[in-house]
Amino acid sequence: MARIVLTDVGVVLGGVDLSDHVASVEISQNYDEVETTAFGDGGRTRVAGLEDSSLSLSFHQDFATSEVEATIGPLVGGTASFEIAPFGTAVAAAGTAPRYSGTVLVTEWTALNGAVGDLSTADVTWPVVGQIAKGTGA
Amino acid sequence: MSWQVTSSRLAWAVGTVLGADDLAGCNIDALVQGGHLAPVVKQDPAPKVDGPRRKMKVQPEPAGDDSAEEPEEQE
Repeated sequence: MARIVLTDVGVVLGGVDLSDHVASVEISQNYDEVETTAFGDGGRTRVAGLEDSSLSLSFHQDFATSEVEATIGPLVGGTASFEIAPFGTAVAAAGTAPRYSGTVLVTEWTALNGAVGDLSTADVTWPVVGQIAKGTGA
Repeated sequence: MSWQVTSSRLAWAVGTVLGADDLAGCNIDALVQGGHLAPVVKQDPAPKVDGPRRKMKVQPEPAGDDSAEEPEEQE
């Protein structure tokens, strides 16, 4: 697969496709670092612990019916499923096109943010509940 | 319980009626609040209206005339 320029990332949150109101996305997969060093080891040894991942999104705010505020607002304080498709949700992705899915805890929401003349945006980072699954195809 | 899709942001076409199984894993309340789904209200079947009762035709009872039936003769 060639290098890619992101132009059509699919972002589905709680079953709702908000791709056309998202300007950036970051899936951050992290694992706790658990030290296992014992006597006799010449250096520190480690294993991966629990996954502690997060999803960051930058939304363009929209207060219209069924748009961003109406969709995210009711999710705050609860969990929501997510699916991120780097090549768009509508693409019958060929073979290796990845899709990331999981559940996030919607811990924060900035309904209104910006100065005079700015585009109203909402940048969030939500912790993942459990693990991120990586699949392929449509 | 079922819900009708009311927004174009879901995986189903507007107007599609979905059941709880279709929406497994979704926060249905949030989708309803967000204007993506509307509960489908089942209409109760129209109550039966009693029409004007037809008078049953009463068949005249056979005349209670014993003479109509002749007793069998016993030998």
